[in-house]
Amino acid sequence: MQPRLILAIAVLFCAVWPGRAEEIHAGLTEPLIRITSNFTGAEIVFFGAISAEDTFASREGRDLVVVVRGPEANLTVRRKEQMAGIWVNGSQATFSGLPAYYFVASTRPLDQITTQETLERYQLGLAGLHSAAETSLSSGDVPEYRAAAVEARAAQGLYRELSGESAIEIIGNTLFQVKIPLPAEVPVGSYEAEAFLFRDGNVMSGYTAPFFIDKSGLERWLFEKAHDEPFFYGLTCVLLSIGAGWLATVIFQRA
Amino acid sequence: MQIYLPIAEMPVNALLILAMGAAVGFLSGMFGVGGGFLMTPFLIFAGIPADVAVATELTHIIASSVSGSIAHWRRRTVDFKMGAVLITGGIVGSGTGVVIFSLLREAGQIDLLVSLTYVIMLGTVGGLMLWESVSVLRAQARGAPLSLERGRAQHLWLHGLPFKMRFRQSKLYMSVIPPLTIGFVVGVLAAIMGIGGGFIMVPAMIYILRMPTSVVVGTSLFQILFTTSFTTMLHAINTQTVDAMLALLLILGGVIGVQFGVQVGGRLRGEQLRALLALLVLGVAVRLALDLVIPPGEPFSVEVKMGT
Repeated sequence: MQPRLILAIAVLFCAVWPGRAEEIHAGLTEPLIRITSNFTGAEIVFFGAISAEDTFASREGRDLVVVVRGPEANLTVRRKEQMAGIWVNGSQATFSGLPAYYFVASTRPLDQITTQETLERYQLGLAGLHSAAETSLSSGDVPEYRAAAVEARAAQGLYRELSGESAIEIIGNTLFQVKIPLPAEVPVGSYEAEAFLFRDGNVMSGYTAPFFIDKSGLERWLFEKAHDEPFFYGLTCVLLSIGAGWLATVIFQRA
Repeated sequence: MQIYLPIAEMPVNALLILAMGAAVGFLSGMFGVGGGFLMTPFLIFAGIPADVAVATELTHIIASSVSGSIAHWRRRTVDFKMGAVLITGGIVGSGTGVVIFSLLREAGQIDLLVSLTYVIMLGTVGGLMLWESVSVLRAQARGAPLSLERGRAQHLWLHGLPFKMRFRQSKLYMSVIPPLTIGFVVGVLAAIMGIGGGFIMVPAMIYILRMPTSVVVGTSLFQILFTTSFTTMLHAINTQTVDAMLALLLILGGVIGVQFGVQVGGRLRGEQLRALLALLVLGVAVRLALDLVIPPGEPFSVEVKMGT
């Protein structure tokens, strides 16, 4: 009796609660991406619905932002400097705690949706990615190195910022879907996809869905063996190479 | 056909790697060299990280030196005693090389170390080979056979060194210090460059150790087989950069290419072969040197370390 009563009250409460006018719910097509030997990247779809008390709530002033963060990584940026005529890696800066993968899609460019302060609080947009520089620089300034790190990740398709109808597809008035591109070099680990519903620059509702990327099958097995049992792995590689060389001799001698 | 490499953590075109393996195998069959000094730079040009390229190429060299070793062992053209001394030096050298490799990898200078070593070694060896084969070809054109025999007097100081040992197969009685040193140097280079080192070992055996040419190639292959196996183990344990999937593709392409290379190589003359090989070696050296000298289009490079 007791739980049912609480539920009934809760439903009633939600229905009349004015601040909960618009809510967002979402899900992912694939919660686990497996990297196998033929992996050349993947695309998962983050889809969801905006539920509103008033189903004809105006689209004017309403914005959606979807952000995907990969596992944390340390990015070391090195600058090539000329020394005795050759170009060598010179000064460097290490940024810790940056996501190894970052994707953000929004209905409008982020700076048109809300204030810089809000963007930074929710870590939205490539410009707002926070990190601490771990090493001090002998020359040059930190923002330049940070920009280089972001640019390098973007060139690999691992950092992306998109906006407009091509980024977030709105179906009807309440359904949306975002295609999240995962390039072949996508790092393994746990990911988080988040959807934010903005109205007039304020976050009204948010929804988080985790997903995982992991090596699978032979790829996973080889990687684990190489790191957990390096002696066994190395010995196997050597013995197999010797075996392959010997086998080739036998085969081609007969041919 | 794309295939994902588990250690390099990137997809590569399997056919491209197979073709590269076959092409280098072809050249190594034709010229009678291991081909590591070509394959490692080719892998780096193809976008494989330098550390993975170096460590993985060693497995390819193991596979290709096995068949040669078997053939020479059957013909009894291996000086096992000399081989053992060279391997002893080689193991110490490869250990030293892997330590240098790891240190510079930490410091973010591994690409520079690999490129610089390649430019110096390939430039020197390629230049010497070209000079020699061109002089021979010119002498032949003049009709005068050039004698490669050189006086033993210039190496007299080698005979003054202590710890002498008798090498029956090579008909030598000499100090173990020169072969130990040569083994050491080749071991260091094997670990840093991902090569067998035959192109350094063979001339060193002929001109410094003065071994009879009949046992030079067999003994060199024997030592390469052991040193590269040992170095592969060290890289697997120390840096975890041996990519089994990449190794498989390289070996597969390599063993096929070698067979065709041997047939073509048999039809060319020795001096022409050596001049061609020298040009090839110099070409790779120039390509790597240009990368070091030309101002980079992208001054920044980014290394990613995943948090644990």
